[in-house]
Parts: sequence; structure tokens; C-alpha cells
Amino acid sequence: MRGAVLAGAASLPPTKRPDASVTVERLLANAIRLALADAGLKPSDVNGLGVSSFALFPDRSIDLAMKMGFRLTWTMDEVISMTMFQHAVHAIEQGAADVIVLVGGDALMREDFRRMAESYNRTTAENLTPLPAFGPNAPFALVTQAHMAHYGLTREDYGRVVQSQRRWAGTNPLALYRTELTMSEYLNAPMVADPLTIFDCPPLVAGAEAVVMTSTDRDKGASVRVLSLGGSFNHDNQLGPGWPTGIATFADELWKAAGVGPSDIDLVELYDDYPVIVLAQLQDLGFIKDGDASQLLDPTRKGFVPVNTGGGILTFGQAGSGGSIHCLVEGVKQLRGQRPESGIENPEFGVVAGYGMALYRYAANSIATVLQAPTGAR
Amino acid sequence: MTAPLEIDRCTDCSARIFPRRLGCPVCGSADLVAEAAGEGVVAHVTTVHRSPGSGLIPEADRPRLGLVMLDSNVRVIARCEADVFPGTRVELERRNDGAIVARRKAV
Repeated sequence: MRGAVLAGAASLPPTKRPDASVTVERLLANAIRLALADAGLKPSDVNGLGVSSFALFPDRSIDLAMKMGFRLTWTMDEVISMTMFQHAVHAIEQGAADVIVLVGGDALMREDFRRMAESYNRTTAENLTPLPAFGPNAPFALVTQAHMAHYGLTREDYGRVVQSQRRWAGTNPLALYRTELTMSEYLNAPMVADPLTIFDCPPLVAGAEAVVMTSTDRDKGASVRVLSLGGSFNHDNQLGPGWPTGIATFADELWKAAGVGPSDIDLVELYDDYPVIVLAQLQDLGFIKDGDASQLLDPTRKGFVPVNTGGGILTFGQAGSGGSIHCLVEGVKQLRGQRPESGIENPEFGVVAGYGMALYRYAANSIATVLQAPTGAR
Repeated sequence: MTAPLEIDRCTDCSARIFPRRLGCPVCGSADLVAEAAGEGVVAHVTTVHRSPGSGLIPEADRPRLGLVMLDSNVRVIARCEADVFPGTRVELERRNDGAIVARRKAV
């Protein structure tokens, strides 16, 4: 069967305080053009487009297609880019399109973000906004407290996730926060919703990122292979404590279908809205037990695995809905050998996971994929 | 003005459900009836110091939000009154403005 591969990826530099001249459609267009150039493809090659963006409203992917001049056989709008990735893989396998661009990006001002967070869905508007909860930080602070109590973790355990990502960010010229963070700086950082500090919540930025997917028959040996893919949506009906994520429902099949396991993996790229979600996903994928990632994240110890090798959105910044494609972009760049500064030599296998759509107390969408580096020219 | 918080009860399997659904997530029944949430215990409390819209919230306005585990095992996020802490037994009310409030249960 024809398969899907990842042929290119691009990130725009994030902007902390965008001015009014920064429009989301221009950001999305720039990221698309960069990703196509990275893939060695022209805009006229594109026949599928998927867009994740809050700020693009009332426009949708079809409006962006018209403005970019794309003639399409497949189109999609979704808040979580990794969810579009699941659909795009199937679309290419089925022949609905053979060059798909997925783009995520936003240019939300703080006030836009507040409005978006308050009316994120009806459940939030009815039950959280009147408290007031001031967005998703407080619900995830409560998930973190419950996770901490359940596994007997301390704030340092979550701080190590942030510290590790800061170290990787030092190798990523695009990341917003690139300096190392001491544990004392982490523990004494300004509080957002205890125990979450400003370093546990991604900074809001304007930006856009994109990947280009093609069919295997267009691949000349320079594209990243998709070995396996799993998705889970609303797996526990919001009846649990906030972990495990939906990944736990399909991780065994994901590894089985890929033919590799956690010990074969050279890099892990996970959606990182909060450190607790990084720990939950690492556990669901089988990398850690009991929430303890201290060994896994320590480069001086046996069992070290690179996690969020570009620094993740905790250091890069979250461009609204664009944050949902960040992990895939970094995974593709790494596996195509475009991140030599990170010091990871010839990575062959990577796992990328997305998470999102906070329904009430936590989020419900999980997608994970196992990827393999290009096979080289054949 | 306040009224007791209402949650749903499935008339087929008796599951208690919150927030509002269109059917029972446990057994699939469409027959849900509203009933008072009853009592519970506060498991965790967080104080919100910063809002994404306006930055630092003045100290007097910072909401203390608690995760309440009802006796029916339903989890609700509620605004905690000043004398409510982790471990406090509470009852939940819904104010007219929609806010769910956890009030210390009189002994």
C-alpha cells in the first residue's frame, strides 16, 4: 500500500509582542512557503491543506487556499494539528491527495487569548469561567497537585522537565527562553496557579509552523517514514484524575506496529503545555514508571533519552493552536539531520505525540506516531 | 443568590455525572435526571495569581479554586470560601452568576 512520509518542516521565529502589522494569514503563508522549500516542492504541487488556527477565524483552510492559489483535493480544519496528521496519513494512503501541507499558527494578543480561553467550549464557559478560572492553568495546577500526591513527587520533579527543555532550547536558535534554569530559579519563579509558575506555562507568542507530507512514491529517500500511528479521543470521559492520557489506550499497538520499542528510540517529542503532561505521556509510552523521569532526563545517567529536543513550547513559546504542530516539526527536522546543533548524532527512530482540547479538568485528544529517519537516496 | 449545585444521575445505572452530558458515559442511557450534588471533601486547592488577559491579579481578587471529590466520586472544580482547605468537608452551591462555590459543611 502507498504510505505517507514527511518531506519537509519549518518554524517561523516566535514573536513575544507582535504589532498590528503581523497578521495570522501572513504567518501561515510564510510557514507554508518555508516548509515547501524545505521539501523541495512548489506551491503548485500542493493538493491538500490542513490548518490549525484560532485567529484565522472567520477564515478557514479553504480561504487560505484561495489566497495562496492552492487547487486542492483534500482540506481540513482542526484545532489540534496532530489530529490532522492522523487524517492526512489516511488521506495519502487512500489517494485523496499526495502533497499535503499541515500548518498551525496564531497571532493572539493577550485579550484575544483571554476571550478564547473563557469560551473555549460550553463546559468551560458554564463551569470554569464564572469562578473565574482565568483559563486552563488552574485546572492543570489541580491535575499537577493530584499527580504529585499520587506518585509522591516534589516540585523538583516537574522542575527537571523544565530544566531539561531549557538545556535543549540552548541549541535551538529560534527558542524564546534559551538560558539554563537553576532549580532555585525554578522554585522561586513568579506563581501562576500553585504549584505552576511562569516557567510551567508556555509563553504566548505569535508564530506559525508547518510540515509537508507526501506519498511514498514521491519520496526520493529524503523523507521521514511514518512507521505507526495511534489516536485516542475522550478515552476516560473526564472521569479520571487527568492521567493517564489517551496514549495509554494504544501504546502497545503503536510499538507493535512500528516494530520498535522505547529502548530503540533516539528522540521523543511531546506536547508540553505543562510538565505534568510531559510526565504522563512519557509514562503512557512506556519510558518511565511512577511519574519519575529523573533518570531519563539526566544526560549523565544511563537510560538518558532526549525529550523535547528543541526545548518544546515551554521554551519556544506557544503560538496558540500552532503549538500543536511544534513537536512534529522538531521531530522531522531532527530525523532529516537538520538539527546538528542539538548534538544528537544520526537519530534513526523518534516518537512524536500531541495532546490537547481541554474539555473541563484536562484535555482529551491524544495522537502519537513513531517515525524513522529517511532511508537515503535509492 | 445561590442554589445547591445540581449534577446528573443516570436512572438506569445510578452513575453520578458532572459536568452536564447528553447521555450516561458509563452505560449509554439517555435518561439522566438532575439531583443535588451532595457533600464532598476538598482534595486540592490552587490560588490563581495571574490571568492571561491582565497579568498579575491583585491579591484580594485571587480566586482559590479547589478540586472537590463528592461522596459520589464525582470531581468538581469549585471556588473555595476562605475557611475551606484541602481536607475540608464541603457542600457545593451554584451562584446566580454561574460560579460553583464550596462552602464548609456545618457540623
